Amino acid sequence: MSNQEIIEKIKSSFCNLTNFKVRQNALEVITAYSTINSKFVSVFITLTNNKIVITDSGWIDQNYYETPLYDEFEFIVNRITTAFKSSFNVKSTLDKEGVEYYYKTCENLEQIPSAVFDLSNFIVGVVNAFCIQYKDEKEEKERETFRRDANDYLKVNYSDMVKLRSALDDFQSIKFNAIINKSSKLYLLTYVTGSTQTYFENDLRKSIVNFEIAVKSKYQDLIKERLTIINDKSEGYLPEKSAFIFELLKEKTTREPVKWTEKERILELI
Amino acid sequence: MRFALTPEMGRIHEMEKVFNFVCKQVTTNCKTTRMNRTNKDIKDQFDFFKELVTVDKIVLTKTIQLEPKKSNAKWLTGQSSIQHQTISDDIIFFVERSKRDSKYGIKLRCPSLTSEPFFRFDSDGPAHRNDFPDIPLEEQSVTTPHFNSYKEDGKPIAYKNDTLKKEYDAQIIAEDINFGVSLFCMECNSKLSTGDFPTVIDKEPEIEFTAIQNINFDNISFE
Repeated sequence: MSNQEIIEKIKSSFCNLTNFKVRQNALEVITAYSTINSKFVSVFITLTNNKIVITDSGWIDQNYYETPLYDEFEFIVNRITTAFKSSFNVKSTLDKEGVEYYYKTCENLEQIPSAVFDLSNFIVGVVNAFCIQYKDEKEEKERETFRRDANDYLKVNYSDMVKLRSALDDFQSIKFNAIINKSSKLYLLTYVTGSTQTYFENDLRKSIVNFEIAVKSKYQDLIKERLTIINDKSEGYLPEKSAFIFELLKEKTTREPVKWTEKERILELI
Repeated sequence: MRFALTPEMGRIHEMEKVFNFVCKQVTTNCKTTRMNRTNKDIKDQFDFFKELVTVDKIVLTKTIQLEPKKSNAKWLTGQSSIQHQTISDDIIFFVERSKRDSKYGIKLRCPSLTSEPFFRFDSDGPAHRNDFPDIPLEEQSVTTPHFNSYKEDGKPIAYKNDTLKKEYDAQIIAEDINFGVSLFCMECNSKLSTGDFPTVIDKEPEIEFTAIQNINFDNISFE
């Protein structure tokens, strides 16, 4: 196998991958660019208003590339789209029905391949951005497991006395993982976990703020203990690195945080 | 006559040939693991999936009316239940059509198997990439109209049957949803109890369908 053979094979394969469809008022170029969800990108060439316009035919906006919908991360995709629009000098316009068309214009035949190249790269980038699950699944799973285990433990030991994901009446937006009402005394509990130091510390900060607010409640006299249960099995539990935040937490709680591996301590305290 | 394409389309065993071809490819191409698009449900229950597709099925609704789709104002949708000869699980036949152009899609779903449609037809839209190392690059692109199915390893695969390989026939099918429904039904061994194929009609009068295929440039202004 000679270099020349390899060169020719690659050149002809790449070239033959590009297909065309003659449409009613556009030439569709089925490009050799594909997305991570296995779609080949198409661009549409048409002559209009004395210009050559190359568009995506509204395919991105109409989800013809069948990307999943992760609504909560739309802002990320929007930022990526904006960045790619400016990098590839792609513009967009809406048609009468509100469908967004991405396009490039050119003056003459010579400019067409370059515009097709840019618009195709743009579409690949945007479609791929839509395909990605930005949510940290490992973190979500670990958090859910810990929350469930802790909830179950409290339910087993305090049954009707425990209210999960509950708030004090006068601060409804501040939710504690659990509030235990035993012998007319309230015990506020927060859970702290995280698969990374950042996630773990975010939970610590949330606990600090919640307890800070709790002492301003009109029920303050009824609150017997403010407690944090920490998942010392989680990868984000790095007590030395997070020492400063742990110190702050101690100022806001009534006891040392309860490690999950020593959860029996909860039964002594409540 | 509503259906007037090449006679070979009428042969139901056509599907089996294509399916066998697809399945043969399966055994030779199971190594790729690009982006995790494997349908694990289908991979784990491939015999069930194969039975779903190949065994005769009865479409229970003779005339499927398209109504506005709730989740997408630009699409119309209609459906029918399917009675499978050997499987009693719920199987649903879906037809969807864009109000803007003539693009439509037909799908079969079996919720007890998997949440995705297990067999589909796309009249238009992007070409699918069959990115398996044994397929030469220039043959990896399967333009629309095409069928979408699954291989034994749960990987999606697009293909054209002999009818769709003929450009002229493919174009006629892409432009007429009822031709598409007939082709689809033959491909997945489905028909009405009368032996005919279901008919798709718009609930709204056809006159509202004015958009021409692809882009209507009168609607758009460019800088």
